[in-house]
Amino acid sequence: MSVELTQQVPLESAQPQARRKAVPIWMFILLFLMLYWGMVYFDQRSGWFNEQVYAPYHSLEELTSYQPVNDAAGVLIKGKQLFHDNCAVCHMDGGTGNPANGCPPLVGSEWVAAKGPGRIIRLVSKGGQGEIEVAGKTYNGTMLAIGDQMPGDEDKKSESIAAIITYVRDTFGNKASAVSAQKVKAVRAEIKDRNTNYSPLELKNFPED
Amino acid sequence: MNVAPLIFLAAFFGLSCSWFGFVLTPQIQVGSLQQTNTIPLGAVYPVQRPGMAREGLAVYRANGCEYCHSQQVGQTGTLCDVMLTEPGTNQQAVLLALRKLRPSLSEGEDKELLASLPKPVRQGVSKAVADTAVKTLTDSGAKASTWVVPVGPDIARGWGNRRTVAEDFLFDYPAMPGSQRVGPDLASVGVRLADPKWHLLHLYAPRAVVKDSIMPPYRFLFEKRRIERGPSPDALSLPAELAPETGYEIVPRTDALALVAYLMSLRANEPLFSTPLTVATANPTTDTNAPAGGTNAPPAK
Amino acid sequence: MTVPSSNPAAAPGKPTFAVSSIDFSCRLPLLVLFISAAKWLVIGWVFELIASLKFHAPGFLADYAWLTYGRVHPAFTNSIIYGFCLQAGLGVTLWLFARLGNAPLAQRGLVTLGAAFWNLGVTIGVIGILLGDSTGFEHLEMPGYAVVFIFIGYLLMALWAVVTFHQRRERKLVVSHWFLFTALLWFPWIYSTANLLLVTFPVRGIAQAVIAWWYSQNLLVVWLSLVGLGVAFCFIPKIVRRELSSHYLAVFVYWMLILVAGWGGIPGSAPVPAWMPVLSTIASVFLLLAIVAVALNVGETVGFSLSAFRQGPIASFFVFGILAFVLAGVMRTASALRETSQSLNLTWFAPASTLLNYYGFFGMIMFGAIYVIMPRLLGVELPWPKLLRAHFWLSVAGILLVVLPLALAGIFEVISLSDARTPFLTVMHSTLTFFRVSTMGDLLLLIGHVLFLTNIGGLVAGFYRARAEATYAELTADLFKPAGAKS
Repeated sequence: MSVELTQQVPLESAQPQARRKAVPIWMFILLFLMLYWGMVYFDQRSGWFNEQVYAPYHSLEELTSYQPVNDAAGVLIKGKQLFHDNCAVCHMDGGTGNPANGCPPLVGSEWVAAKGPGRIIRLVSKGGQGEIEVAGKTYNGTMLAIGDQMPGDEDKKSESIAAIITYVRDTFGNKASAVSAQKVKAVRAEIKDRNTNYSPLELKNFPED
Repeated sequence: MNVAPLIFLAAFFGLSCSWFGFVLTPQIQVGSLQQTNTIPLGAVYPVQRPGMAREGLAVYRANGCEYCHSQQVGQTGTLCDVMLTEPGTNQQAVLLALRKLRPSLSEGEDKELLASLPKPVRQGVSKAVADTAVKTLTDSGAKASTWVVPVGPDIARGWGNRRTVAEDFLFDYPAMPGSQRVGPDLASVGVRLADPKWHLLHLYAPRAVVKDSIMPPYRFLFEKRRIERGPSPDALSLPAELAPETGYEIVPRTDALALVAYLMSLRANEPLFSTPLTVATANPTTDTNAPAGGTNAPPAK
Repeated sequence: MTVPSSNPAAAPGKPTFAVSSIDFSCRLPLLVLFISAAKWLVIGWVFELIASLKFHAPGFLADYAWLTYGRVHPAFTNSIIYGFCLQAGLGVTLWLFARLGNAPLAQRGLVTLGAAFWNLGVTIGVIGILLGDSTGFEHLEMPGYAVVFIFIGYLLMALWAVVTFHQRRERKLVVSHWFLFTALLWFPWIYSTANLLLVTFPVRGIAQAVIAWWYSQNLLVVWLSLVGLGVAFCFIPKIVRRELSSHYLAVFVYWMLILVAGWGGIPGSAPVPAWMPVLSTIASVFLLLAIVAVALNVGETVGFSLSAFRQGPIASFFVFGILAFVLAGVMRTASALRETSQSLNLTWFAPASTLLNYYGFFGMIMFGAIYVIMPRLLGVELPWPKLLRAHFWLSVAGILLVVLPLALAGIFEVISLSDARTPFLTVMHSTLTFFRVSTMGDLLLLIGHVLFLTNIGGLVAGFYRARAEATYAELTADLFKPAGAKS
């Protein structure tokens, strides 16, 4: 028995040989069928590599259709939250600003209550620097490019900025018109290549639309 | 022909394929994920876990809790509820619409419904059906909206109200979604079991709080102390058969407190863009539905 | 170097047949590797038995932090995978490279040093896990300070395996070379990537889990399949004294393994974007073709009959290994198919298929190979051949008793848990019945491994003792030559 064990595996002979038998053709047929199934399965279920599509949603369109629909009150609530998260640090929750930091108030601000939001959209998007006159007083501070730093892609940024501006124009005693995300997106598209702050003088060059 | 270099190239190519697909691409995609906003309120999500909870994550890792508990709630589908929020001014028209949508409602029942809004009119239907129903109701003058409800066995079991997504693990090191369920899923255990004292008692003696539990007791996370000047506020209140002798108390160590803080911080239940759901807000009238027009979401790419 | 043969019954441990020079060059490193592998197998399965018993008595050893389930379970998996599987695989690869290339193993001293470093690393790693320093990533739990030793050990072994390959006198390559050479390159890349991106410079968020799953798949499915199949495609034809049925089919399997198998592993329930589990599902389905190809190739080689089993217990190890490979592959694909939350991969089905793969397939093939190689290294037959048979049957019975009930438990769990009204704990208690059988299987496996360690340990001990005795006799022969008396 003990001798048989080593004799069982005659490795002293030449290298193991293999017959050159071809791979059966049905295996390749199966492979192609699987490839086809794989492509269809991927097309249907994967959301085409979109990082926001999780099962059970199959595509970005399907996921988008389940999102809550826009409404005025909702935008104000969202704007308030975003204002608190991003702007209240300097401008304060009550919109009173912080003169020590050169931060102008939003209450009674003619910039906020302007007929059109064009200048404000630019200011929020790209930030501002330099002397600015608000309600008769001068402020000299620097504002970060809050709009550009919002999370998400261009559409999400425009939406967030629109919500903030709508909230600010509605609150703080301003009662100015709301701003749509489309408007914000259009303005941002015009200025997308800019990466420096605006100065108030520059902003005054833009029409109040 | 010297095949050896070819083997090397083949191996290199083969491994680069899956490396590219499952190491590089995920790092570029979900590895550079940033905080996102909840929908529709826009609050930042997730926030970094408090310091004690971060220490608790290390305790969770060191004691291998992930080998029995998963943190991945699944979702098999999405259904919609038709929520009627305001009756509007034209009661006749609204009642007509209601009867069309719910023919089984009797006369008294539908007036009762209108009096106790907000109430769901249809539940668990597809989006198309829900949207049509909402339109019918809105046309009749009432205010109604479609509520999105994720469904699945895990959700039905109460382990979460939505599926877990990448953002839920954004600040965790290590991210431990787990691989097996010997115990219940923990993704939103901080919402489901919000009492730290329950958790401490459960860690010390699982069978004291969950009958016939198969979880082992983690008594080494606690210590038996002599009562000095008075009982400690952290001391466990144990049933008679588990309590220590008089003059002693069982007090959780820092590890136990940290672990419980971590468990309390597990709250994966906020609605996000990638996992929409409608959460009842304090002010139901804000959930109005604009009949047409823009949505909050980015357009399809 | 040849040693005179003598009656094996009279002098156990004395060499009975000639040891070729190539086998002699492999002796020292391979002895270290194989004995260590057997030792880790026993240690690891003691951990598994402890873990298994905790399910029947949750308070069992619960007061010791280092023996809690969450530490003992990863200690088990790491002992078996790094302590047994990888060491045995590397040992057999080294031997095959030397043998197939007809050249002695290069720098065997350094290779032995590599083996020593590897073992040191695994020891430090397992102790680190028990002390609570686990990294938290499945199959990569060993802390960073242990990884350094393992990596150095690996480099020492693999570099000189490649040198041996390069210095081969027999220049023609067989298909096993493809598998084994690729495996040598595969491991350092996946191991270093995983450790760099998860332990040293961790990536952010769930990307960690994705890379961990990628690593698990590439280690447990790709690497083990490459080495296991490479070894099987070499040994099985030799045992049945026939040629491998199809060279091209083996190459087909090779390409499927390296191109497709690495993409599996992301579970359907994972909190990752949908494209990842979808790609994994597609890859798992593709792998079915590779499994069919292996079954076809080996089946045709042995003539599709179980008469191969009657060739002897060593042949049985290989054939059972291939059968387990097929079954484990089918199980793996089955659990990859469903994308719903109650998918099989969150139940006992997943560890069952993983265990069947790294023990039932890879482990059994390694047993067979070690039983063939060890006697050749020393020129001595195994001291207790009956223990070999006992080991085989204990392993077969053990792995079937462990895997089949767990798989059934997993299926049962999926069906029961899909109804949300069934309390979770009720379902868990029902699976405990299956678990009782599984613990029985663990005990059988542990006994089998002790027999394995005894057998090959006895082989080595007997050889060195006999040699020591011979040397002593030689040295003292002149001293004790009594005048005229019997010697």
